Amino acid sequence: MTKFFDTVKLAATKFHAMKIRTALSVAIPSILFAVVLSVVTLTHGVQNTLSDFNDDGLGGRFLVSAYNNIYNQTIDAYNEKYIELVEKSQKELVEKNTQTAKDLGLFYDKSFDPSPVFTEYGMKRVQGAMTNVTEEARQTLSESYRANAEDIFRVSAKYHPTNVFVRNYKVANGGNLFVIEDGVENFEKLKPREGNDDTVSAFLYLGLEITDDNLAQSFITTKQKTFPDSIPLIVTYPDAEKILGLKSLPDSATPTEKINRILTLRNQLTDRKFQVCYRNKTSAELINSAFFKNEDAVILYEMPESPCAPVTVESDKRTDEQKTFEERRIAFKKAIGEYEDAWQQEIAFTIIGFTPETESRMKSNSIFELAKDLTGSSLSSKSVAPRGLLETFEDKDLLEKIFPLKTDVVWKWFSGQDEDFVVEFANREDAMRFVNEKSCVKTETGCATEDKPFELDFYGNNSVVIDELSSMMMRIIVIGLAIAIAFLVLLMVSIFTKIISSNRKEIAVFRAIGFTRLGIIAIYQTYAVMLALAIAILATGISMTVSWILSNIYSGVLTSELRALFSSLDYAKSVVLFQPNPLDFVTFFVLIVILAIFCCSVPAFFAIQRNPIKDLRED
Amino acid sequence: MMERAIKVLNIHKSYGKSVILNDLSLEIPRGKFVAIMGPSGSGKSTLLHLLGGLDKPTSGTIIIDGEDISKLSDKKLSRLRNKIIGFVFQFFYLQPFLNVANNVEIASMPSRLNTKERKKRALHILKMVGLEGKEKSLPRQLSGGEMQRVAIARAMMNQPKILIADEPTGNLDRQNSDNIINLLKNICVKNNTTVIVATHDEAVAHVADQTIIIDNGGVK
Repeated sequence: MTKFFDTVKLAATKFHAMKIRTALSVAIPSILFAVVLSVVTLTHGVQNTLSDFNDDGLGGRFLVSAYNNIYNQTIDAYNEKYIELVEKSQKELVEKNTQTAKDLGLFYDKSFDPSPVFTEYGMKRVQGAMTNVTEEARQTLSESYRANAEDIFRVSAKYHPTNVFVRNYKVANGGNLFVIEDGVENFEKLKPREGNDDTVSAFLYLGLEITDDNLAQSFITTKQKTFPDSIPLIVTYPDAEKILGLKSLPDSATPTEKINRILTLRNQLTDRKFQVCYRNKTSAELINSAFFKNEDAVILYEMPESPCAPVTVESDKRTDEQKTFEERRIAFKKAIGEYEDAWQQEIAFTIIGFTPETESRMKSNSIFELAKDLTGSSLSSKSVAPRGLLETFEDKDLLEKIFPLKTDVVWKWFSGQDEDFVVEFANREDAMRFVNEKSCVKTETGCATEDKPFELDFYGNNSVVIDELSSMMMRIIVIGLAIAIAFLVLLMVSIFTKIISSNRKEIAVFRAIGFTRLGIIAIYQTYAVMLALAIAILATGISMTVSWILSNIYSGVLTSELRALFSSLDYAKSVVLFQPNPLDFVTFFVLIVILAIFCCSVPAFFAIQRNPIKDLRED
Repeated sequence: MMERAIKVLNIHKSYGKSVILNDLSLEIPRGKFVAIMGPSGSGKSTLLHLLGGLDKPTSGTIIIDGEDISKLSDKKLSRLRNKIIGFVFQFFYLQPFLNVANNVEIASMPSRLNTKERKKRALHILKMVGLEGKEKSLPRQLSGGEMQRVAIARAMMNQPKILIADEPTGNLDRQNSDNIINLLKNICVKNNTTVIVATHDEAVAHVADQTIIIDNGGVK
């Protein structure tokens, strides 16, 4: 066998002998491989950057919300069975209330509970407004399964959940919340809304969503650990803007403007405490009557003079009979637990963090929105209180008084349950299988069944989609790489076939001189390796340069965009597209050398099988 | 009795239906200068290639240096071509991008001769063929005659017992042809190398110890 150094020496002569062919053989594959390498390098950069930014919020977690959807939306107002059930329940209600009134020696008139069934154009129908009676009838007609907490563990067990979180919904007990600003109770929220303009009370809805601290943690911006005299709330950015009276930024806003907006909101609102007056249902109704004063009414109310003070009567023109009737009605309602005297009490809220709003847009209005929808993570579309921090609120009685766990049938029926669940999985596959296999299917009569008691959906982020997109991207890269390699194999085989066929005489001479067939193949393989190394070095050089240039051009603007996209104020995080992975290059070098050896060996093998005489005779 | 370098017994060679050599037998003594002549297409080159182990006969036996080469493996044939036989071609077939010394050294590459010895031997042979001082030259800087000398030096690099030359003067002018013929003759005489030359050149026949005429696939 020929010495390695001699083989290299003979192989090297081919670089001189076939300059144009060699140049083409190096240039074309180099450019192709450079494209592939650049894509791989930039993909690494994008993946690493996204994963870095994704640490904010709920990014990178595989969460599924489980909601016991038992709502039957399709029962129409003219459904005979529905009407029959409502009438039956209504009759029972009136009978029960009549008996209760009689037992207590109170006055009751069935007009206190008007029937939800009425006749319209000669046909019976149920009124649209929900009452306990109508919703009980709907529940009876519904075939949906009513799940409890045990069901979530039962149905998710085989998908290996890593966590099950509970979310509770506490509803302000039929009353209303009014913010106290500069010592004045603000009733502006009672006015009809115009457009998206809102008041400072925007973040205060009628209920409290309480979530697990584990889920809320990454949205919290406060450093406070306890909230003994206020309810800690994470508010949505749009609500935060409304609180500060800021208009939403247009889509055309620059990343810097978006970042500045986030900074403004966080700086100005984190730890801001709001004093709020809670008015129970009766008090809120009185405020409503006083606010929209009807001069024709027999009884007129006066707005309170100090914040959270009771509403007073301005004038009462009722007859004695009317007064007696009203007193009896109230006495009866109290007796059946449907009325309490007006009361109001101050309570404080503290803004402790921010969450982007969950929004299911049918379409995104801009690439930024599309990216935001895809990559953003959010806790809720409403304000959220982390359970652990809420526990530090000392006046538990007040909390329970204002936000009791709602047991009202209308609420439970409308919202499914007063709690739902978020199940966390370690990977996309388990989360996807759980959703695909265990989500109930909506039918005309509801959704939940015993086997599939929950309506399941991905929660908080698009990790599953991102992960799938990422896998798809990797598959596309791998397919692209395979196509590029297949193309390069053809190209290299054709180049080497050409080179070797033009070297037939030389091969014949080498054989005449005494080179073995393997020795001759080794010369061409060595040439192929040298060519491959030249291609690899050139491709690496080109791809590094291109990636570096692209990275430098786009890193700055992408960093701003991503900071805005992820609402990230961590200035240590930046987009670095140029993230070469040494392992990729080692793999690439090995791959290209193997490819070159293979591509050269095939034509070389056929060439050395030829009778050298034929080649020598061609002259 | 004179020692035989080559013995050919009843060889046949055909390519498809075309018969090139038909029941050809001959013997070539060691250390002789043999000219093989004949008209074009008579089978001279084919016979040379068979003698050099570059091709195998369809049938028959070729004994070189006491060994039947028609039964040797490819590896052993390569070794035979490297150690026992030297080839010289009409068109020289030098490596254009290697200098003269390196071109000569190529022949010793398969035998893994050490570099020092290889260089020493190449210089010695180049001196022998009259190319002293041209070691660093590239083939394109040489004349046709000089290039053929380099080819002869390459063929002599492994001190072969048999030197086979196919039309070595076919591409040269008269003066260069004469020089090459003389060189081959000298090699034959001084080194006791059997030199077999296939040629149309009558001048070769004049200096040859033996002339074999090939015609219609046989020895005339």
